[in-house]
Amino acid sequence: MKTKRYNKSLTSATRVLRQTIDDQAHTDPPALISQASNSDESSPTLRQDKIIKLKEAVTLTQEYTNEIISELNATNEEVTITRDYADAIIRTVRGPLLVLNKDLRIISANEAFYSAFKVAPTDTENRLLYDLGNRQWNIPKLRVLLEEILPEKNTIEDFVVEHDFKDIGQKTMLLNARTLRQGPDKTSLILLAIEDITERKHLEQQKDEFISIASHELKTPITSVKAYAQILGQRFRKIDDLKSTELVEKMDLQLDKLTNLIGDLLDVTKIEAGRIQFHETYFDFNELVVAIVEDIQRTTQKHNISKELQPLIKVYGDRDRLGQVITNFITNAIKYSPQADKIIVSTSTDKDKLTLSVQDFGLGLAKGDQSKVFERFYRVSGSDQNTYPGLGLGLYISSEIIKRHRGRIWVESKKNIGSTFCFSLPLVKHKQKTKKVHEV
Amino acid sequence: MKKILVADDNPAILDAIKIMLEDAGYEVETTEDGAVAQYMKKPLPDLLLLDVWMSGIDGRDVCRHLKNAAATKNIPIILISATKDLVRIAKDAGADDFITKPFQLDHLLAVVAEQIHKR
Repeated sequence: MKTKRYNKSLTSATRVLRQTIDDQAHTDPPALISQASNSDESSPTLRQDKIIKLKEAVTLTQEYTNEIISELNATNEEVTITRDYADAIIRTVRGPLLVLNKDLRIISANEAFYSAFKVAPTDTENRLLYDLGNRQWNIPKLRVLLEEILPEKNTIEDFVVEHDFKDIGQKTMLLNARTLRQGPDKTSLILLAIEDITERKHLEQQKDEFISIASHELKTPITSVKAYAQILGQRFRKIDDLKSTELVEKMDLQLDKLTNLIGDLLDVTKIEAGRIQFHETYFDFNELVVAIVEDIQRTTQKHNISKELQPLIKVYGDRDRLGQVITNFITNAIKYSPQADKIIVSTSTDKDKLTLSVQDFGLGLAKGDQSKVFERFYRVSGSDQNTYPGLGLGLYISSEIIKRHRGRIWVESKKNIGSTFCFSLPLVKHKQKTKKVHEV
Repeated sequence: MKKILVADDNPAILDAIKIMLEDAGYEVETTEDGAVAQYMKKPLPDLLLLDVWMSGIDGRDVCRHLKNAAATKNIPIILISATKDLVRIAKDAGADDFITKPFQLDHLLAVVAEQIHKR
């Protein structure tokens, strides 16, 4: 330790000095003192005074030295504590963590790194990252990340890298990196945290597959129940049993709701997995709006859905999916305006886009909820909303559908006054020759 | 009387479709195992309603096979499935039309009537 060495040499230096002074005090004439003073060489009293002063000075020096040393010791201790603290963090973090210098040479790695990637410290420390274990870290995507993106941004979060490692197989990793500037010369250190998300991804895939299969399996019995209900309905109608016909029709509507719920679950997993498919064609948008409004109007006596439609050119998109969004807007409007009796559906157009709006005069949304309603699983909380059913998926699916159509979705709302949900789609001048409308 | 062959591995759906079509005045034959080929002898059915995912049998392959055989290529084939991507599946397999599960009785009868009268 440097401090101890300084301490030792200073103490011995002071001791030598004190010894010399003591020796001189008993020597006549003292060579050292006579050299230092210009007058009264022969006066023993004065010489004695000087010796006392010198002694005092030496003692003071000794005290100062001790003070400096104890301060140095304290600082040293602090440094040690800080380093232990940092070391403890690195060791405690359960995810693999690497500390690299600016040339991407490994300064240290934690236990989690060694165990996750089945390597030893001796094969790791002071080696270049890319040279580790048969150059298995020489991953093009990682090189771009560390050599191009990191120097510019200093921080990288949640960067996904997939790589097939020789010893541990195919891995999906989530990387977080940060550049630290250290010391007076500001040499940079790179902290690289690696999270192995292979298992999580695998589980997510399993979950998606499960929901996909479950939805399909659930739809099978619904199909037959719905079919039987319709056969019954038809038979009741034939014998003019209107009461029974009505009951069976109600049953059929409930089955449709159940089907839609299952459809929503399936859609979400498809969106998550990036597997949602669109069948885009040119179609008459207003005609679609009219058909949906008529369908929904049939299911509600309370609300009157009025239409304010501007003439539109044909729209290019997935008719069914866009219909799903319009249906979602209108059924939400009905659901969240139990005290009102009016809903306005309107379309408008300007030179490069069309806008659809559904306005209700119901509960409305607080400012804080307005941006969140399009999030997955989000349901407005609060005493008055608790009783409203739903999975919190409809608007999320709608926003994904609109995004995929390069459109915009939003809501304008005032609490207790009502909401207007809107989406706009870019209008593309259509060329019927190049894009054939697919009709089966 | 027009004859319709229905292939679906779910007995309840098969039963319900059979009742629907018989109520509408068609003669109906059903098969649960998807082995449609054995029904493809004279007199040939006037229409085939074919489920896409049957236990161990891919309805799309059956459809392609029938559409490629001279004897059966003129039989209208309607695919039925719960998948939302049925538009593309039907097109790829060369089917004449498709019906998404769960279906409306009126829609089923309308699609069937249209395909049978096209012939």
